[in-house]
Amino acid sequence: MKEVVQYVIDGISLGALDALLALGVGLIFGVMRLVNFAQGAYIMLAGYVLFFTISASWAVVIPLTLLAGIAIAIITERVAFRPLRGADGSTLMVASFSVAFLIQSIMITIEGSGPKSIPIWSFVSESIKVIGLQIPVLDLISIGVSACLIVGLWLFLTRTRTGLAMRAAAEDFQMLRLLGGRATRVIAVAFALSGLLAAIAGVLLFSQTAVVGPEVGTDAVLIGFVATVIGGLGSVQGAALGGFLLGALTTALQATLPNGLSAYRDAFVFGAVIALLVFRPQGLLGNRADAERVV
Amino acid sequence: MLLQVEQLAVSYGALRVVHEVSLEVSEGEIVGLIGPNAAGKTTSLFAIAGALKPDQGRVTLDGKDITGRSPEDIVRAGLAVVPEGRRILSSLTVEENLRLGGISRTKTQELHEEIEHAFERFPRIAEHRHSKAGHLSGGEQQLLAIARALMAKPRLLLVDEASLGLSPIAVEAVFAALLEFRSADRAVVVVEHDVERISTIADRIYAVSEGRSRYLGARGEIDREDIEAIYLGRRPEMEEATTVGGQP
Amino acid sequence: MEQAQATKPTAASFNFGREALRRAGRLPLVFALTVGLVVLCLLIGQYGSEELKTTTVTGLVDLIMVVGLYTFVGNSGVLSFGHAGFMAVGAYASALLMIPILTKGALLPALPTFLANASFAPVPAALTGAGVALLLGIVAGIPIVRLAGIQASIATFSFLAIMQVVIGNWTALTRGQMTMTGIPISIGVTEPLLWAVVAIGIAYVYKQSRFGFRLRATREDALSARSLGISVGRERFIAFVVSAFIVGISGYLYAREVGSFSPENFYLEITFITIAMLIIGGRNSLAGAIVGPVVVSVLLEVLRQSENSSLPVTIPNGSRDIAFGALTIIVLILRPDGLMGRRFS
Repeated sequence: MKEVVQYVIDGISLGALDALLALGVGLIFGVMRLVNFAQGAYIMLAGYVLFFTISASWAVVIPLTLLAGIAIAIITERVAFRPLRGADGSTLMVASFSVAFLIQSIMITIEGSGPKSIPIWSFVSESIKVIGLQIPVLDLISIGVSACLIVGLWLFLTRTRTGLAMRAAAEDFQMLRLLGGRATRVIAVAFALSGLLAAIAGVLLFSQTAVVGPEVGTDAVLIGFVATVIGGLGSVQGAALGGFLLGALTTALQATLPNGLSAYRDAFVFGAVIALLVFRPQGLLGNRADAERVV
Repeated sequence: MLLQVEQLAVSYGALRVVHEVSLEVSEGEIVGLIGPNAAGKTTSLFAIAGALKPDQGRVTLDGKDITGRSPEDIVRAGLAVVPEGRRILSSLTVEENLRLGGISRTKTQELHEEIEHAFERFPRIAEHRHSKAGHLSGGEQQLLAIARALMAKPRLLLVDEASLGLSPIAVEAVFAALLEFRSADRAVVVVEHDVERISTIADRIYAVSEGRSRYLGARGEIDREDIEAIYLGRRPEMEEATTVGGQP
Repeated sequence: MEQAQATKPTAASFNFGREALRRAGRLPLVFALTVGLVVLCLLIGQYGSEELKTTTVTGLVDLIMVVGLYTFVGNSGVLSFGHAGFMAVGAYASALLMIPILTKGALLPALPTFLANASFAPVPAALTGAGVALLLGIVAGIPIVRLAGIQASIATFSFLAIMQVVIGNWTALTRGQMTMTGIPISIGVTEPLLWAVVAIGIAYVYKQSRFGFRLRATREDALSARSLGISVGRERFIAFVVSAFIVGISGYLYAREVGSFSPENFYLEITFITIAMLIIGGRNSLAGAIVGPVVVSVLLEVLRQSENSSLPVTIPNGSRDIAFGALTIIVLILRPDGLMGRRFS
């Protein structure tokens, strides 16, 4: 019984992290129909900033890391993606793939390709006793931070003018422009937000793994995609939901797969993605129309 | 003169769809644009509104040259569009659609008042204020699209095929709204395929056919044969050919 | 009188020369490029340094991979991130058949007997390896080809990830994360060159066939093509499977070139490099699939020389990849249809 509760909390914590990753991917896909591989590079960069500044107090480290994420996202938007606005899906995908590769190569040139271990603050790896269970502090932080972010994002999208514009852009970008909405600003904000989400997800992720290298972002961004697909491409609520479900699915598979197969856990997850794309391309929260439009 | 379009030419990629469209709209009038399918009417509207960049030609709004400017700038210059198919944001609520219409406005307090005013003016959509806009009927969506466009406080309204798919009663309500909008310093350009309908509200009518425009005249002055020629493609030379030899 | 006539060029021979030139001008660009490629590689094979020959072999392996990628991506318009998986299968499968039996026994003790005792000559090993890739293409193709554009691409990415996990964990067959080694190395330029010509030939035959034409119709306007009775899924499937076979060949050659590899050699880096080569050359044409790898290989070679300070300009290490990434983005912004543009197919 204790184990089950442990797994559930693990699942929720992982789901929280996956939801953040998914939201970063989903926001940009929503406004630009861009599958942003560079999201992984944003996470990686945040990790390196974390590595370099970790000796300072957290009041310095956290803001710097978040700023780094936002900055790199905005820079890539300005330099690489804005000139490509309106290009077709595969061009955008190759572009984001190239940006990710470029940032990764720059990092390798500057810092080498070896992993770096991050001496993360000690309190993070502790556990506290709650109702007779040992719950890692990090799990609680992950869940708390994600919940705040998701609520904050929801408020932003529903209560602010730019948030409204972003939701409109996700449905009919040209109509937003015809109504006078500033397309450039909407996209820039979407990127800034996804950079912020990437940085926060990075902090949570690297607090757990305590290691960063040029390729760490790739796995993370894949998770983001998978979760977005599960939730439904183009739906922001879907991205969050997809993240939680993915966390739950991954933890469940981890817990239930027989020993011989547990190493193949990720293969099962990706297999599920393909199956989902075939049988329900709009994901769980998208509607049929969205799926068709993505052609 | 509120709007002046001179020798507009627009292409979709390599395909030129609009060859030469010119028209003038003065304050206080409703100008109709008729023509068969794929004549270039919608393309012309989009080019005027900034959604497409024209290859050639000039568009002047209230004395300002808006040719090739972005739609964001053009809306702020005083032009609003009610596009074909309404293009309501169906995932947003009715009220959010209206809010979106006012996104170019700077004073938020005024915006709230305008929204309330819009609901008073269009009680049919006020009922569904908090519903998703996708749930409205065709006629209600059309009214919403107009109300949404009005939120930008435009001086010129471009309306594309507003009567498509609507019942006669709905069309009446839509046209009534357009007539109400027309005033001393505002004007409307209405694209319509139904000539009868457009004749009831348009002061002057242009025809667009195969990418070229032609001024037909003021309401009441228009030649039936002209209209037939535009829609059926009958040319004067062909008329003679069928009566050569005296046999029809 | 007779002597004068004998030395004057006759009208007939003059016309013959002109006719030959006109015929040559009408030959497909692919033919000319292939001939040029063959000549270039033979010259390098004969007179080039060892280093240059190695670069050429790598370039040829990449070229076959890109030609395979084009066969699906170029004709269907659907981007695939997963083809490195087929390269992996071609490499691992042919490796298992070519590694000397004793070495195999030591490296892979858990192999099923028929594999443990198998010892194939290069060409059968290549064809078998590519054949396994083809079979995998059939399996993977069934779900993937019925998906619309972006979702199909995400599915191919998932496929790549699945292959990584499976290859990385099926230790009995692949040594998992450990290096697969012991493949007899082939150093000549001739073998890869021959396979390159074969690959180009297959891709050309496919693209000129009615399958190729039908698929390209769906690339431009899927809805219209469907209304003409073209089955988008079926045409994509055929291209997918053919492309898997070609890419499988490149896997075999890669194994023969490097002699040892591990799963990470078939993951993101090779995926990016081959996609970038196709984009730069021009994703819409087979000519682009040939030009891209050649141009990029030449550029990379120039950059590598300058990294090693053998040219006047020195550039820091790793800047090759940076230049490559930047170049791809620039091409996408300025000339998304690549060097060959849209005029060719």
